[in-house]
Amino acid sequence: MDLELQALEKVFAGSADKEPVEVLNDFSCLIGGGGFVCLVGPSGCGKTTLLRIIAGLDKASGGRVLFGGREVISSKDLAVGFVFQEYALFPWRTTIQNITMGLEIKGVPSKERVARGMEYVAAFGLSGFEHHYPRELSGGMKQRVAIARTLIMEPSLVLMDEPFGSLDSQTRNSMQELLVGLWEKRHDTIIFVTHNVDEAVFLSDEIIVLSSRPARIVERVRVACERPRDRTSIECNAVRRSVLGILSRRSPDQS
Amino acid sequence: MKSRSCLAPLAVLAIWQALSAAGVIPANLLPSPWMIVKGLRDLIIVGMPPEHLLHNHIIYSLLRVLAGFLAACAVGMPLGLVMGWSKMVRDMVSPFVEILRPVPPLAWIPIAILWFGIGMKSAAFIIFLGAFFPILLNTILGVTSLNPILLEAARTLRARERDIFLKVLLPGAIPSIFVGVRIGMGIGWMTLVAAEFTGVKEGYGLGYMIMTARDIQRSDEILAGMLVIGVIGLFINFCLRVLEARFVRWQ
Amino acid sequence: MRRRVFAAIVCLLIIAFNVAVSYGDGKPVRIGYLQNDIHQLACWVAIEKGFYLAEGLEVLVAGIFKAGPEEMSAFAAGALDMGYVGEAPATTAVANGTAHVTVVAQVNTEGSAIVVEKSANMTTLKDLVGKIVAVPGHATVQDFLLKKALVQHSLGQKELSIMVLKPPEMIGALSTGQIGAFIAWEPYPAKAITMGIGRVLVSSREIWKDHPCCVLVADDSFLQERPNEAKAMVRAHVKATEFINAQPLEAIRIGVKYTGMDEDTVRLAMENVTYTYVISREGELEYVDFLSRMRYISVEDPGAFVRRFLNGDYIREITGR
Repeated sequence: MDLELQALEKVFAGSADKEPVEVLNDFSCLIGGGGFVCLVGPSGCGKTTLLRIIAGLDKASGGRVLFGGREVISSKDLAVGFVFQEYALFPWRTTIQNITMGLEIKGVPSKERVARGMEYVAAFGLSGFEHHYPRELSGGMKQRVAIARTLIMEPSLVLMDEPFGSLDSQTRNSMQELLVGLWEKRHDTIIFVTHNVDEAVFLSDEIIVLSSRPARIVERVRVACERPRDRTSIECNAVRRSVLGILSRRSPDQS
Repeated sequence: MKSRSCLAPLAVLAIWQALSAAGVIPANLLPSPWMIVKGLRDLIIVGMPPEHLLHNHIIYSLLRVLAGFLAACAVGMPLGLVMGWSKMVRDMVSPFVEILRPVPPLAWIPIAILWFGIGMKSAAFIIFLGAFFPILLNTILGVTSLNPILLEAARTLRARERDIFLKVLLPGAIPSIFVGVRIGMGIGWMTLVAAEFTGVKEGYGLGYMIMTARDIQRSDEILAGMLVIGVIGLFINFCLRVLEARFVRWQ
Repeated sequence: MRRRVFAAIVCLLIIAFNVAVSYGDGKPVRIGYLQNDIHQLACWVAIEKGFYLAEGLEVLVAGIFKAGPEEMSAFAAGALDMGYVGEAPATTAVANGTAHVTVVAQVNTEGSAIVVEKSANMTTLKDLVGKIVAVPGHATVQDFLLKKALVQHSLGQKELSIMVLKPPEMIGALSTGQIGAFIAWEPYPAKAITMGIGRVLVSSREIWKDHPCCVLVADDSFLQERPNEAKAMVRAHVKATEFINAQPLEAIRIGVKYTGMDEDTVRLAMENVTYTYVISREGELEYVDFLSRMRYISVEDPGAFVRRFLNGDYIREITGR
């Protein structure tokens, strides 16, 4: 199903000592279903706000979000998976309890929940840790739980807000491979926010480069490399250079 | 480590006993540790007032505190959850809470006696007042200090209001609630003795026992009674901590 | 030369002035009494009529207490030099070693009563079985009288429920039905009557005729260090006691002033009290015996204890009795 953003506006109201901040202004975009899209742009440009509006966590000041032709107003309207940068795991729940939280809310009976949960535990390489609490898990494991928690709901749209931002590069690379592997099985629509161009090049079919605040689409770059991707291949490098070039042109003082 | 932590109290006791035996500490002002031990024996065997034995005093006092404490939980926790969750409710109820909170539970005694008479109910009410505010405030804190991102994560998992309340707010607030429970119980136990000073119909209670010991001028039994109260308070806190550790394993 | 003489005279004058001023002066005598206890009227009379002043005494009311045991605690803490207090709490405190005081004069006999609700269907002590009876405190004279009365009527203590209440709260508790009866010192029984709430079921006279009730005690260290002032205090007390018996109307007025109660109540209360300063040895022996049986105190040699506890010398010297 296609995701269409129509003339989105978002203004954060000012306060006594702060001016109102305009984060999005007349932002329109059409993203075809089934693809892996990365949003890349300078920090503070509004990528996260955009993602949250799509998920229904924040309300736009103006404009509309349509998914499969139906308008999205709040998080209730859409089966969206959202992966936060800070994991957002429920600390009082074990790994498997976190993963099956959505199923529990849905009312899936306990035996089935556990069965499906254990499948994902295995798929995400968390076997042996299913009864551990988040505080006992490493950063990479926590993010795996967070993603598993999202994907087990089989949402048609998955939004990820810099999920690997706080991981070391080795863990990040293996997580990227895991994610791509999972995506290739099901081909959900994934919108992935990052400011790491290498990551975007490795993961996505298309990179949408955003300007600084208020965010505007500068360019949409197709990543025409074959999967499985070699990070050091010539094609990947070319795309990387191109994207980096776009970014540096828009904000010459950012390196 | 454990044996070393016993050293200081034992040394204090030894010095105290020596000073008392030497007459440096007058017996009528502060009985010696040995006299307090004998006073404890009298409380257990003879009772104060005579034939009112210690174990019965303990039972009655525990019952009173339990009654007041459970009432405080029953009112404080739900109210705290709602006040934490809804800013509107919080704004409406807070003024009352803030005015009543500084009033010491003991100041309520005349009113309590008027409303509930002399006996278990008014003592439980005083204890309720002591335990209520920590429980309420810590429950509110538990909810308001919950990381909002957890609420958002729940929303993205299609949680309805009821799910958020039961599956996120409540479990998330439990550590703070437990803190409130421990503090509330501690204050409730402290308030007990004073609450019983006002009058006890059933003839039993640790505060009543101490007051009677005072009337009969048995300082050794007064101090022995205080010791019992302190030890029981310690024990209650210990039990609550064990319970807390079980419930808050994830922290 | 003239300057030195002048300086010497000034010094001498200063010394003389200090000596004159401090003679018979110095620290005030700290006394205590029970709140609203008409038994202790002599104390108030002595204050109002200036009897203490006439003896050259500076008296400071260092404490007004709700019941005897509290006053004894104050003695234990060294906060009082002399005090008007019930004989039972004083005996208990001394026997248990918390306070060191000596009785130097009697204050009154009788003057307590067991009060029940006016309309209650009770005629004798036996009707109190199963009820709650309030006393001002354990080991008070009233507690003692109640238990003595129970023994006289062959009733066991367990047959009724004794609870401790401060006397000001007793009338309220009686009127709201929280207690079935109370025993207190006058004027509380009188007040219950004049308020139309209660009536006397048993008076202290019926329990123990002419029983000594309140005494004037002095801290042992005060007696040792300032015996002249102690004697002066007793003299003032004797004068006050005689005054009450000689001029009852004026005494009532003073009673009204110190209790805040109306004249009828005070008059009714005083009818039940006998004001006397003669110490009763038998009375004290009775107290020691009963308190021992109650296991509140344990005294090896009651005779020796009483001899030490009561000191009739002052009264004998002053009045010859």
